[in-house]
Amino acid sequence: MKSKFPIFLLLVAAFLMVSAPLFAHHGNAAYDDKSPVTFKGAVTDYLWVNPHVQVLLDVKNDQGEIVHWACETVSPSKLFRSGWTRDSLKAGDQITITVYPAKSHAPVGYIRKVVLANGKELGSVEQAQ
Amino acid sequence: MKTRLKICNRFILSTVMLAAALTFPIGSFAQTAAPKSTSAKAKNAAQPSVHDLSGMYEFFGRGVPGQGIYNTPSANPVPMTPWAQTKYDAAKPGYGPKASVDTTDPILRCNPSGIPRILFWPQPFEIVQTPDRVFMFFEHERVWRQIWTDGRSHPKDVEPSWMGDSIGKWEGDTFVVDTIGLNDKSWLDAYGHPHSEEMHLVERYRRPDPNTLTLQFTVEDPKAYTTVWASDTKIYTLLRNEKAVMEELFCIPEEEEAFTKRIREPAAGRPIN
Repeated sequence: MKSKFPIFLLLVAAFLMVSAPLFAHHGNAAYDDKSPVTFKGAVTDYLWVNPHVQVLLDVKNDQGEIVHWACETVSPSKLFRSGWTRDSLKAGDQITITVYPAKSHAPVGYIRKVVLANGKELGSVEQAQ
Repeated sequence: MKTRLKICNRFILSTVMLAAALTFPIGSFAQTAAPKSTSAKAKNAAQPSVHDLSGMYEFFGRGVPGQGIYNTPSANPVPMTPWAQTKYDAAKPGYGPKASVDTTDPILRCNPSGIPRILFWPQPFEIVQTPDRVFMFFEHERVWRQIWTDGRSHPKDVEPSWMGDSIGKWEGDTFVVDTIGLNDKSWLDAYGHPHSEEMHLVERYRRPDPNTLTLQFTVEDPKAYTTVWASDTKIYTLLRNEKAVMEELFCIPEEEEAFTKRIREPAAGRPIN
């Protein structure tokens, strides 16, 4: 029994490290899923719509300029089953967001994680997939 | 008083029976869906429990061993005929070896995914069994199909359609669905593989445990493929409790267009027609 415990822990760790592939009905070729980026921003709009929920936000870049980002994630139904609702975000919310950025370098990304100003993380997008 | 009690009891009994009848579909497939609290009598009257596929399932259970690849029947496609190769070469899919940032996948214009593609789409479906049909309701595109289980054969002249003509029967613990009459407008998968109207699809469903549904299928389409394409095993997980909901997910052309302009085109770095 003693030897089984660490193996179990290793299995749990391995499970947590496995990253679910990015899924979108339009494909995943446009995003760089090897280099996620994390930044803070102010939500300007939160679109609880099909085919993908979208979070639009203003982000200050290194030069102090405001860049408007448009980020997408899975469908509302999948996010709902992961604990998100249409009221999870609203314009004006300060959030920390992690995305796979577009390979085109346009300010567009595929959402992996959203953390609210109070430190609370919205339901796992990876699990929603 | 006794009579009143008797009537009252009868009323309660019939209400319970009615509720049970409404809750659990009656028929040769679904009776064993009853929970453990069901009486021994009901259990004895039921068909073998393996003949019950009813429930909401989702493909894409993260961490499920041997999950099977999503978006295509298997990782090893079979050789195409020249007819199919021409179609495949012209396709611009969003996934697979030919994945393109400006994909022209027909579903992005709200064309139905069709059968079999929608079966391995990572969005839930619900199986409902009645005495003469098995229904599959798909959250994605909000479409459904019917599989006849009353012993009928396929019609002689089937008009090709997106979901085809399906008949099903049990072979031991496996529900075997035979489908023909599919039009050639849909892609076989998200990789852009084509299929013709000659496609003959055989799906084999099993429920190895109450939480799991598995599917293996074969695509026999001599106009498109030189041999039969056998899928890997797709594993679906039963959705439970608060997750067992089928949300509304229509494909809305205006929403698709707005999404393309806001997200897909800048992400692709070029206009998408």
